[in-house]
Amino acid sequence: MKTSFFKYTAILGLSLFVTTSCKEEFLNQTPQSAITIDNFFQTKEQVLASTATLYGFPWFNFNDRAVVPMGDIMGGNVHTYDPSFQAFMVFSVQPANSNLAVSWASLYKVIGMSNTLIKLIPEKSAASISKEDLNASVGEAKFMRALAYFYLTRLWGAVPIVESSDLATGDANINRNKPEDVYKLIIKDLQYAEANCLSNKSAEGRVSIWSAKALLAKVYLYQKDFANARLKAEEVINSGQYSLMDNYADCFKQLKNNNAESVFALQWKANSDNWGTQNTIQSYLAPYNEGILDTGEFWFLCSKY
Amino acid sequence: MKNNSYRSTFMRFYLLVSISTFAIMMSSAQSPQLLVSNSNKGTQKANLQMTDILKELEAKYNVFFTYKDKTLKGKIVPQNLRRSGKLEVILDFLLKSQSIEYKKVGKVYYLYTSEELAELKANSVNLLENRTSNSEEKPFTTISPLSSQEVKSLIIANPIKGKVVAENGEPMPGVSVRLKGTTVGAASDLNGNYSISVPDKQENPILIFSMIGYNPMEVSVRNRTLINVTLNPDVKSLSEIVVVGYGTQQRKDLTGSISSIAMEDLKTIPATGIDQALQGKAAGVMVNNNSGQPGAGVSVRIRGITSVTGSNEPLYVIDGIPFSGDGASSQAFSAFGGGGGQSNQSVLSSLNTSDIVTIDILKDASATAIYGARASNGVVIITTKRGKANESKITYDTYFGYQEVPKKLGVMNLREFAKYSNETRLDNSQQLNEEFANPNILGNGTNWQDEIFRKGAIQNHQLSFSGGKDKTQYYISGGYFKQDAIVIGSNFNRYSLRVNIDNQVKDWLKIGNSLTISNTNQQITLSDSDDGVVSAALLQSPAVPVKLPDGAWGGVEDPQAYYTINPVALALQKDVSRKQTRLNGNFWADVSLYRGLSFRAEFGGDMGFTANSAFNPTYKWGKLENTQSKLLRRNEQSTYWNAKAFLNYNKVFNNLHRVSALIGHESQYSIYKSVNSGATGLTSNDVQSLNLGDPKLASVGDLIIPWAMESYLGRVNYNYDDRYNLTLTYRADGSSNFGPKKRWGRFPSAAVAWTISKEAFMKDVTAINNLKLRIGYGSVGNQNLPSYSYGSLMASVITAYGTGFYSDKLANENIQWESANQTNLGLDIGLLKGKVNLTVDVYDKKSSNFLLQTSPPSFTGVGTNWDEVKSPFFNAGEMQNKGIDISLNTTNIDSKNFKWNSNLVFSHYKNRINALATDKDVYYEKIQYFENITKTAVGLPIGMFYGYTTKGIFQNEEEIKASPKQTENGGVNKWSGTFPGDIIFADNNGDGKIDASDRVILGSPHPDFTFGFTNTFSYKNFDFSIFLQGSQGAKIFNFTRVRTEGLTGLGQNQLNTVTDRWTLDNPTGKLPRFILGDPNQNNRFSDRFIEDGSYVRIQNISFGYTIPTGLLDKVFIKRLKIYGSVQNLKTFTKYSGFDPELGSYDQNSKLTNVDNGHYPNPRTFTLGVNVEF
Repeated sequence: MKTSFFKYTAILGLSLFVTTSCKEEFLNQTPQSAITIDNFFQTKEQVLASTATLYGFPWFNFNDRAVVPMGDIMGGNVHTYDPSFQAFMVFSVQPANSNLAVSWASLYKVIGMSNTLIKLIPEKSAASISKEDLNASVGEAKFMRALAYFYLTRLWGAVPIVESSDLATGDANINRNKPEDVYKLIIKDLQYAEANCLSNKSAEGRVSIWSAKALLAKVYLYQKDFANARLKAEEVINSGQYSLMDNYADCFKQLKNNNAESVFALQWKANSDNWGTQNTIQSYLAPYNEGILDTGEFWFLCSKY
Repeated sequence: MKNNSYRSTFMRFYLLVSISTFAIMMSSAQSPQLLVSNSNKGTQKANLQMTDILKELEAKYNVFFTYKDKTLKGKIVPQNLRRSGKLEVILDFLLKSQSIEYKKVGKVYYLYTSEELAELKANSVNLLENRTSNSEEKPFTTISPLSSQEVKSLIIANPIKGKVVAENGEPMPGVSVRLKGTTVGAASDLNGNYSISVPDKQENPILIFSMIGYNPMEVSVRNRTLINVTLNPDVKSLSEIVVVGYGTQQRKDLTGSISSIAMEDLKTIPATGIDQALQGKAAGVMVNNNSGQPGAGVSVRIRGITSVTGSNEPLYVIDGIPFSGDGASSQAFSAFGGGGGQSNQSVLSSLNTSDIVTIDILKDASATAIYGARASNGVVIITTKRGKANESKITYDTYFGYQEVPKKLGVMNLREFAKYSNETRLDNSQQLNEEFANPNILGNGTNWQDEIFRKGAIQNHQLSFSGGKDKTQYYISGGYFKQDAIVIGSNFNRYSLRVNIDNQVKDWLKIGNSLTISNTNQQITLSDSDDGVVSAALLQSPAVPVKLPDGAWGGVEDPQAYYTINPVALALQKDVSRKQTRLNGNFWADVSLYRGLSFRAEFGGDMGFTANSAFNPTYKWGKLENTQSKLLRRNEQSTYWNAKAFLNYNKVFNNLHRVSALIGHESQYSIYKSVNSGATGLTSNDVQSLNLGDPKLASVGDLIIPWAMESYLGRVNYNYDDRYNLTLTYRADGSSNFGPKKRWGRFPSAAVAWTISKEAFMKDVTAINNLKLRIGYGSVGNQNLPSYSYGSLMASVITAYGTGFYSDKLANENIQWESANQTNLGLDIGLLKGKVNLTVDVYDKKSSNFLLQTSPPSFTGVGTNWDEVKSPFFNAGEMQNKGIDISLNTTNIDSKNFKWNSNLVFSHYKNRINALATDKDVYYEKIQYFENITKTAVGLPIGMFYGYTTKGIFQNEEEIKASPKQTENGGVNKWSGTFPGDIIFADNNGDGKIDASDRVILGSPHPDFTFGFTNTFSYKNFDFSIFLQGSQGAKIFNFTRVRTEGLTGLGQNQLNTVTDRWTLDNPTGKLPRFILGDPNQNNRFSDRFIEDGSYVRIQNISFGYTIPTGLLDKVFIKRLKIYGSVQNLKTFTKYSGFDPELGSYDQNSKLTNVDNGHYPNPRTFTLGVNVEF
């Protein structure tokens, strides 16, 4: 009897010890030295830190490789000896020109990152964050997506509409969409931003409803919808949030970033450890030592677009 | 020695001997004569004989006692004997007073005095080493107790005498001699002599001689009185116990494919880790040292290549604790800019090889399925030594020796170099070096290979104590291993301690543990890189001194010179080390429950503490100067535990059906933590401390990765009549590496075996003693994916609003294991009474679901570039390995004094990628800054060499003009285009120009076959073995030659083959012209650098002498063996580099057989001693 008692107690004890049946969480091991999409979005600040990425780094290649050649160079304002930009100057751009591909990819990177945030912010955010704050952040992402599509369709006409990053996991063989459909999406996104973003102009340059209205006015202009364009433009003009700078040249000075005239601007930050977060245009265009930049040197200057 | 040291003997050889020796057994199952109840205590009649009371107890407790007559003669039962309660208590009381010991086996109790035991023990020493099944499983029952009539009949019988010897002529004590058809028996004595009485009335008497581990022998007496016999050992492979994972099995019952290696066969091979020593020893297992650097990673490929993107290293299971075969990588030279070289460290380098007793390699899916999602690359089970009862042993194993580089390459000496320098500078309109004006007056210059290679000492010491009493056995060992490698600046040492204990706590409870602590220290030299020590020794000019007269390091001052590294300074100044303390082990409890049912619980763990340090000092080697020192430290802490519980069931029904079953649960958890820190601009080169760096440039970071796995497993083995075997295995694994939607993988397998030789119709085919057919199929997996590959982390980026976070990649919650389905067909044949054993296995292994990352179009917003949000991982693809493993063991000569055994293993596999994510997907691999050199695509084997083909050398401008444009710039131009003396590249796609699309497959790094061939000879006490090992048909990309025959840089030494380069005076030169900058890209990756990597190597020769036992008795030495061995004596190969054994670069199977300044494998001479006290 005694033996049996010990024996079965021992077995029971050992079984409990060794088979400590693992709950499903046991297999849910996530990296502990990094933050995941599941434990981020817990505070309003974290949500803002996620939309903060949309103001610079995904735009980098477009800003670096398209804005000047496809804008001012083709517009005849700039002469360049840079061989990769010369084709734009003489209107002989070939499809293989690498500036086209990276600019295209850059705009879609803005769209992709916006898509991800439009999905993740409502899905992953903590309940303690107010609905208004979340919608404002989603509005920022929708604004960025609209802006990227606006550039895309003006440069390329018919382009694929990608509203979800799930495309990357499935069959990516999709058709392009007509510009009128792209514009429908742009207007829809901007109207969302107009309804949900910050109601006052942000001193640090975040997207506000006024940024959305201003961009809507511009989009309506391209649509030849002059009535709506006028309506949105007047709303911004009459809002009392903006005024003209006394000195026009101040608009281009780094120290006057996000000034009274600024409705929307990309926000750059130079850092010697991160390539791709700074504004390169100033080093292409800014005259040296004219007080436009707060420092006088090459790449690692801080500036805002 | 004290008597009671033998009291607890519990070993089958003892039992055999004792049974045989106490041939006249007095026990019987007759009805009891006396049954004295407890209440009669004190009233029994006086002077009760011991034998009587034993008879009584036999009946009451249904047991038997066996003893020699004289042992109990006249022994009287104490008055106050209790006769109820626990039998052991009664016996303890009854026998102890008479100085009689007893031992229980099943129902039989053996009674003996300590003197008798000592005698038996002495007789049985030679039998200790038999690797046979546990005595408890097969109680010895061949001799049953004699009846009194039989005892009487012996008195009037005829005695027959004789001697039993083993096949080597040594007398065999303890052999059971039995008269067939009776219970009459005897046993041979210390000298092998026996005497047995055959009753007169016995007709046609036959004697049966038997001994565990030997084939029983029947001899007809035919009126002889002297019969000498020689017993032959049982065919080892049949009675062998094989570790199959979560248990053991007899080899004869195996249905899967398992290779077993006894450490005894590897003893004379001096290896840092046991993985190295497996080379050429097991069929289907390809082992390559990735580097000669001591402790470096080893590529072990079991049955071809299984994974395209993941690891291909097997799972190692050391005493039940699993270890991934992936080497540990060190923070190393790449952090200082330039090539990083190989820094991978073998997991097994921390395990003391002398502690190992056997290695079992599970190859097919039916064998590996019990390891489920960790088994797709095969499983190597390593078992360490354990104590044996009644065998107190002290052993000391040691060897000393030295290592050297087996081959040096022919580079130019100073005179040749000066001449070459003058010619090439003149031809390239460069300023001549004045010192070289007259090459003939110069000496040999610096021989850099002599400077970096050295004779490195190697030594190993291992002291172990083992033994035990009946209930407790122990094995304790301490080891020390030190290796000064053949390249200066690299070495390895290891201290280790092991304690393995087994204890029978209760009848029903057995516990045990394994525990080992090791401390290793590896100093790494930069190799396998074109700026590594070995490459630098070939490329640095012989005009540069090692050191200047003032003691400073020599260097290159010539502003035009291209190569500036001082290899000796590089080896000695740049310092990378990896120091590890590792503690691992387990403890377990085994509870027997009911009739063959037992329960086992096991808890084990592994803890590692690693300090990895990399230091780049400030230095000035001529014009090459580093003004800012850098120190990086990485401290790693890894913790792993596992807990297992399983039920075992073993039962034999009707002597025909044998069933063993296992069902269990296992959970495992590990967490890896590392802290990385760095300092730059240290104030001193002599003190390597983070405190001395510039605080503004300090860096710090950490990494914490947890992992968990839970499993359910089960296995059933069924055997019918020793003829048919069936094995069914199932394992379900849940791993934290799998996506939440595919958390559990299920891995079933089934296999059958038919032992044809046991069929009745084979009985007369005496030439075949074993013939067995095995067929199995199963599915296993690979859960070794990067942690959290299914999920999405938040990556950080600098923004105007502070640090911003974005999801680094898209999640895919369906990420699952890589799968491998394998069919195995095996045949075992034993011929000529086991003198020839052949095992052939053919297999077809299909692995699939590799972890790949999509490359979607950019409009999806994700990609694979560094600055993009990464596309999700997914599982796709299929790869196939078909192959054959053959192993042949033969006993060629087996005479009294001379023996010759051979062992041949042969392995062949054919690898093919059947599918990737899409048919157009291609994976390229490059080394360092070089272009892509291997291609992995559908329809090809993995990692094929890929590049341009060549058609000789342009002799004149007309030829160039008539040929396709060789480069983009093209045209005939000495300085910027193609010119006579340049290589003609073939226009393989016929588009009239040579460009990347002309690259084709140049060869395969996969061998046609590999083999190992071992021959062991013994003559009396001498033994000799020679082990050849080789590989046939694999190609090597000799990248070293891209540099050493590059012919493009000034001030850079070259192989002396460059004297046969193309010049106007030497238009038949085999190598192209010398030209600065290589405008024709003569050095692009082409078939010029592909070489045949076939080789045959005399891997080991050893010669040993065992001092005859008798000579050493007086100094208390039981056994003493002295041996000498040479490892890697000679390699027969056409390969022009240092060493054709290259392995895979940092274990990457897509970079196999690439020689980039490879650290060659050493040749090792050792002298060793094994002493046993």
